Amino acid sequence: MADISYNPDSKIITPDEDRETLNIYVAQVNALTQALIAENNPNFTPQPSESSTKLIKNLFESGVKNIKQNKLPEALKNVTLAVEMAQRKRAPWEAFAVQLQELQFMLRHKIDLELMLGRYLDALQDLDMLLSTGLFQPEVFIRKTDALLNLGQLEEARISCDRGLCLQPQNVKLKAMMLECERKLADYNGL
Amino acid sequence: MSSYQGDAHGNSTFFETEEHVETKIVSVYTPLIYSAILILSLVIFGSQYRKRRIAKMAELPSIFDDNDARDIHVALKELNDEQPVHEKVLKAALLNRGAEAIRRSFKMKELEPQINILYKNGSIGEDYWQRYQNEVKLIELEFKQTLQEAQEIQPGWLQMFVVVAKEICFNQALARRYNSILKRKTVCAEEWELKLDNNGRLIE
Repeated sequence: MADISYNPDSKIITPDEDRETLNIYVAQVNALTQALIAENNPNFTPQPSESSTKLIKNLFESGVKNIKQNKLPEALKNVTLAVEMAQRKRAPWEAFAVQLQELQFMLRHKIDLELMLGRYLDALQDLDMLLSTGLFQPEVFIRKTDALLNLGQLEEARISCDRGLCLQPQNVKLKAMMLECERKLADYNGL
Repeated sequence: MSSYQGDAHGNSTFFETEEHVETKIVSVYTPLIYSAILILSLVIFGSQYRKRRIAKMAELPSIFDDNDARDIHVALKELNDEQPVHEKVLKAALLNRGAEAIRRSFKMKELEPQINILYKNGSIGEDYWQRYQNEVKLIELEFKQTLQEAQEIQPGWLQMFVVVAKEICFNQALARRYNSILKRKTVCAEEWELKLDNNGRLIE
């Protein structure tokens, strides 16, 4: 039996023991409670909320505008906010297919901005997130190799490049990056 | 020829002795008592055998960790007897429990072909095979229980509950991955000994 406490005022439950999985499940229940309180229809459906879609779209578009005006740090802030908003504002039962597509689309732009601004570690985490959602494309591996090379993780970069080449052996960028990886590795090994 | 006649004579003697078989009168209850004892012993043996088998199966560890989603829901229901818990909190816990049951059933479906191959090849033993079979049945039972609870909380919600729980299951998986980004970033920075400035750029 899980040891939990319930606060009738905030309608939030808290775990009485510090265990990672229990904390995750308690957080999930609290997120669902908040979403259910905001929902008036007892027979709610997975239909995405129009107001959330509009809000996220507006934030993302203001980011795109900033890119066009070459205001990259501001653009990154807007896109990051849009991604955060999609994660927080959308109810957990809204259609997964829509949420996944939306997240992948925004993350691609976010990654490009992070790479342009030299935030390689952030870009790497977002690239891993994209890969964990099943987006196995050569473009993702090109960016991952680039981020890893800039972080000085040469062996990891070579592996990532190799994975990309498995998907598209004739990709010119990946081939060039593989040469770069091998040259840097040889340098590192004093060859 | 003579021996044949002799045999024939012998046979006739044999039949004559057979005719004098003594019969005893048996009570009408005897076959009934006999069959009652037989059936009773079979029932006792069957129940004992089943009990032992269930006890043996219960001793086998689960493939998954503890079901925290179910435990939270049960704990909230028990709390509800002492102090009123808001209906939407109970609903949220039930949806979370349903989503967890769906996640586990998906995991078992993903595992099925590999488990079958490993079992046929003899790479896994009878114990593990039994554990897998138990888990599949327990998950089915758990999902049925959540459906019953959903019907009790809100009559007629059943169909939509399944659809919504499925979406919640997938979205929670996505959220778990997204929420782990920050932790992964800290681990990477520590392991690779990276120094970052406030803007997240590398300090050379």
